[in-house]
Amino acid sequence: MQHLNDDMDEMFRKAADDYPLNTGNPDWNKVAEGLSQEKNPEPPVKRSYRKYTWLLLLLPFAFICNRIYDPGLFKQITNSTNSTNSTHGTNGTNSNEVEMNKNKSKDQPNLKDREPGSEGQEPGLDDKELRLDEKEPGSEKNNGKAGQDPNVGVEGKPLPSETSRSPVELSAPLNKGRDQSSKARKIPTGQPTLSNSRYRSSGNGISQKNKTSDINRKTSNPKSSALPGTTNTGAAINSSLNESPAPDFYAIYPYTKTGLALFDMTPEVSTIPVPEMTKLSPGPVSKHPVKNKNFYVGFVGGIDMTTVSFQQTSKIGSQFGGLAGYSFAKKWSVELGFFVDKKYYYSDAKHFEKGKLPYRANATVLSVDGSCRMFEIPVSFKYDITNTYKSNFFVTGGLSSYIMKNEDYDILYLYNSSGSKALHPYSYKNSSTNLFSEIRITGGYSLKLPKSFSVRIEPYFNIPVSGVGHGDLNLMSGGINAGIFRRIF
Amino acid sequence: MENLKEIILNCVHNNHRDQKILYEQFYGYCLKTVFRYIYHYDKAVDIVNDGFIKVFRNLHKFEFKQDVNVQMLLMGWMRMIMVNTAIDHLRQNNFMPEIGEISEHVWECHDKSQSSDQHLLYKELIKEIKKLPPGYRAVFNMYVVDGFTHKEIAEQLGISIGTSKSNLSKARVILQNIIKKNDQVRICNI
Repeated sequence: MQHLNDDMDEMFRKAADDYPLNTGNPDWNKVAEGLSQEKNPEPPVKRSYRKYTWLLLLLPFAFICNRIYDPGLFKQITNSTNSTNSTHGTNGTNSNEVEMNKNKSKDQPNLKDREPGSEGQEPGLDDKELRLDEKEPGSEKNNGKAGQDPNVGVEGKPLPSETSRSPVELSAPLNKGRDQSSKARKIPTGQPTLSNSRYRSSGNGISQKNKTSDINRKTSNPKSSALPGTTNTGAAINSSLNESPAPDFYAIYPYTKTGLALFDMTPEVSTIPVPEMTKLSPGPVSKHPVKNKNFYVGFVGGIDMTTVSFQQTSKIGSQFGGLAGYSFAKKWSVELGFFVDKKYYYSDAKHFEKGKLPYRANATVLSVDGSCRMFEIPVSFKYDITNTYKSNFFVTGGLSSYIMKNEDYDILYLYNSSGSKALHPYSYKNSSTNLFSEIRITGGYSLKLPKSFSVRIEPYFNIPVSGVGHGDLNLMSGGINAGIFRRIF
Repeated sequence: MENLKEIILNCVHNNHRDQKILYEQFYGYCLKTVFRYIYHYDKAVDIVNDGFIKVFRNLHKFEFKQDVNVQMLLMGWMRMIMVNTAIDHLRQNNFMPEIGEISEHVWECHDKSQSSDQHLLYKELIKEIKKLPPGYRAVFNMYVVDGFTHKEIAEQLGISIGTSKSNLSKARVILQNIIKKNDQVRICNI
């Protein structure tokens, strides 16, 4: 059977070579016409990725949205509003107090306009302090002197304001106030508000029922009660926070440290709404514990400019791909990427390896205009320069590997015999794989978004270590990438 | 030989005169190659012309050394281009079977093989090849006549290697049956 097949194959080969066919009328004109059309070929339809560049316009929008919607600030405002409402709703005295204060403020001139040292007034006291003093029942009777401020010493000397007083100075008038506890004014207990005046008048007229619990509360949460200037109104809070730094709790209440707490000082603190003050504490409070180790992935895209030994660049390329990173320390991460690059470049003949080109008699290569599509695999280490709650600046450094997929070269030849120039196209596929052939240096800015997302703007620069591609060209690349990332865990 | 090298170089430089010389010199060879694959003569002529356009476009890729037979190399290179062009045409038509008879004017009047000992004329053999279904015909031509491997055939036609082998086997069976049948008729006539 095999012999039969071999014989038959041989017979058919001979028949294919020698069979009679009328080949008498070759039509050269058709071929010439086709060749003339080939001289002016239509530009090849290349897939353009420019239609996706509008996505970059969304980046400023995301940035603006993130700036407007700050979850931490939003919750802080909500809590302060709720606390104001709740205190007003639960304590009728306080609401009445506000009403009274409004009426009083209409009747009385602003204390700040008054001259310091005027009768019954202390320089530096605010409106709230004055109103509290005036509304307290029997205050005139208990103080002995009508209109005398409780912060005024026994000798009648005015006390300095809290902002100007040192902790040592703060303790002295308070002790003096305790000496006059029998003469102290009565302040309604359970009042949820706290102001600078409260601290100054805290030693007066408080029952001893809640003494023990108040001490425990103060010692267990000193910072919460250490903040002065907390009132029901947000304006007063902000003004006090802005005007004076928060004094240390132990500086104001040194007796809690030494264990020499006096009975008439501590109960006033029971009126401090501890959770509310915690919410109103200044400075950013991180809700999420900072995790040093996390894994994140993202999509990155951008533009690419490539040059060979700082020669001219032809067109702008592109770079798209994914990036995954793992943070193994507080500021250090390792990142692995996979990019699809489209690069355009130009080179003189001296930088192009001509040994791999097909032989051409009496022809010299003048220049090379090339483009390539390749896979780039960068491995780099990332260092966060400034890593804040919202954003960070970073730099990365590493090595990139190139896997060439397609290379298209338009090589300009000079034919020495005729002196004419001719442009010859060459195409190569999967020509080379260059491991760690470029040093990749990037730096950028990352902005954190809600739900573990973040956006990144990252200029990059690739420095060649070895030649890549069919012509062993030293491709130096630069560009800028933008991407969106998400922390996985 | 030297003349052919000069012609090739001039063709690379888009010298139309030399391109025409090359075209006319190898037109018959290319048409014979293509006609084994393409059933209709007119289509085969068009495909040959398209193939020559490809040849002239890519002639700079044709590599040869100084001490080899350039003509044989060039014929082999051109045959590959012609076969690929013909296969592209068949694939565009999804290997649809052709209908109609081949007119006699396409055959040359003087048959050189008449004096040979073969029972069937070469013309008849080629006719039988052309009667095969396009898929079988392509595989048979590529494997038996043009020397492709089954792997190359599979890649070129977009089929599996097993399918290529199967098509070749079936084509051989068909052709053997035809040859046997013709032998029996000839014996009966004697």
